[in-house]
Amino acid sequence: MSRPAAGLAVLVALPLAALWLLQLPAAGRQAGGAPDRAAAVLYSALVAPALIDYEGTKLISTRRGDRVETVVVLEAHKRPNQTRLEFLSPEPLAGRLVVDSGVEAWHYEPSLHTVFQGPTLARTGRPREQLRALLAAYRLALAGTEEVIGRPTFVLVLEARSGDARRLLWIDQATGVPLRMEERSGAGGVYTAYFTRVSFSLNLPAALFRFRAPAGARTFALFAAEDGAMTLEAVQRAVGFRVRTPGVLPPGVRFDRAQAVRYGPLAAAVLRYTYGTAPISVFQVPARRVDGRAWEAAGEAATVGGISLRVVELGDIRVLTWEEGGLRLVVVGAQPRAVLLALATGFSGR
Amino acid sequence: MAHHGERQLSAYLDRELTPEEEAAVRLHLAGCPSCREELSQLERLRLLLAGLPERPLPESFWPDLRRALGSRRAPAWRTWLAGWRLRPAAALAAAAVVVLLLLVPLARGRMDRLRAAEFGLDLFVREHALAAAADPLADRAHLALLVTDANLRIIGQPRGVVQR
Repeated sequence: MSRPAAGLAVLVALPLAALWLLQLPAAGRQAGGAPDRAAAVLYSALVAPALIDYEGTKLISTRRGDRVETVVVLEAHKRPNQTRLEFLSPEPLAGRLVVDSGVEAWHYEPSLHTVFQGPTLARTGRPREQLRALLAAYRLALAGTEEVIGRPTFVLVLEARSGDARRLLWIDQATGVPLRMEERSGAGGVYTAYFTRVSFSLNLPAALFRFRAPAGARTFALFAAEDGAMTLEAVQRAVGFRVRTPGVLPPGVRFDRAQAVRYGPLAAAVLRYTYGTAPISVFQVPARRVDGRAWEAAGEAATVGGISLRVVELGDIRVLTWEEGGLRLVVVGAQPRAVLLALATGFSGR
Repeated sequence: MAHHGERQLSAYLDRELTPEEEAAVRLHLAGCPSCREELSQLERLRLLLAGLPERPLPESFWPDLRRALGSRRAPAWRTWLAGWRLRPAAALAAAAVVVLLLLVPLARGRMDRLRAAEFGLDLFVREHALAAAADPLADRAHLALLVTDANLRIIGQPRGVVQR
């Protein structure tokens, strides 16, 4: 990053953070060592996407099946919320392109000459509200400073106030952009993502973030009609069946919202939970509307709390599914299996 | 959604549908292996046809055509009636199409139920990954990896299985 650009970023981001801190809720000030400074650093990371353009090479280390996979991707970000990702390796991913305009996202898969159109992956919500939610879910501490690819960073540690979710962030001191992030749980690492090279404030051209489908490519539009947060009664009216709710939630799991989601003719009830700020989704559909035979063959069998279910490991994400009382229930999350099993147990007999 | 007929898939392939119709067909294809198979057969057929060599017309074609056009024509209504008299099979086929058109709305409810049965786990995994975008600390590249892998599984082409 050029010195004038870095200076400009600091001049913009840090006063914003300082101004915001004057109104910081008391909960934030009580968390960890030097909480005000830690919260300011975290806030600078939350506002950075709106202020900084960058382009770099990122390595993502993640679980895939029973092994760890390292993915290399060229990541470009244009403020406030446009992203372009070009996957370089491993071989089956090479050439995969994702262009996110902040409104829609396109995924081009070269091996199939196919384009998928879907909703954006850009962040939603205001930084101030995001910080408030993070401070409510995590104990925050500034662990010190370290260099990442030769740039000074603040090291932030976020530990879930309940449960064992833990996140580490290496925040670039000049720009607020996280140069490295790790998500861990008691069961081990979830994923690590870090830049091996990055350039800031390049004023990237807008054309880089406009997607044009290659000639002759097939296009699939994969959108689901999703309502905003609803009351449980409203969800039940929308889907036409009684939605199950857990009797008790496992430690660290909080209810977030209920929604009705429609995939063409199929209406599903979705209960969203959080573990820290990472989501867990519980989908419910009438069992007769889905092909139970295919689902019963997926993953491995498990029995917990009187219910027989299937556990499907998809690397980072795991899925629990079972049928009960005429409903097909599906729990999806990146949390440890024990957390998801405990949540599933809560739905049994409800 | 009901399955799409060959004619609509062919029109889709030739980009002759309205944007709304095209979007509806795309959505349906995303979850319907049988229609995808039919579409790929049509694509193969189109490639085969495109690969056929052009054959020159016989020298007598244009003189014969001009002669035929120059001959005296019967009244249009008589030609029309004669056509149907001479082509009972075509008349029978048209009648069958009319009956089918009447029956399709009745069968449609059944088709919707069949379509719903095709939903699998991957649709929910994708939906969950999209919801994870609300987490302010989620890495966008990591999320994109999860969503794009789910996209491929939804159309029955999981990563690692696809052939170049």
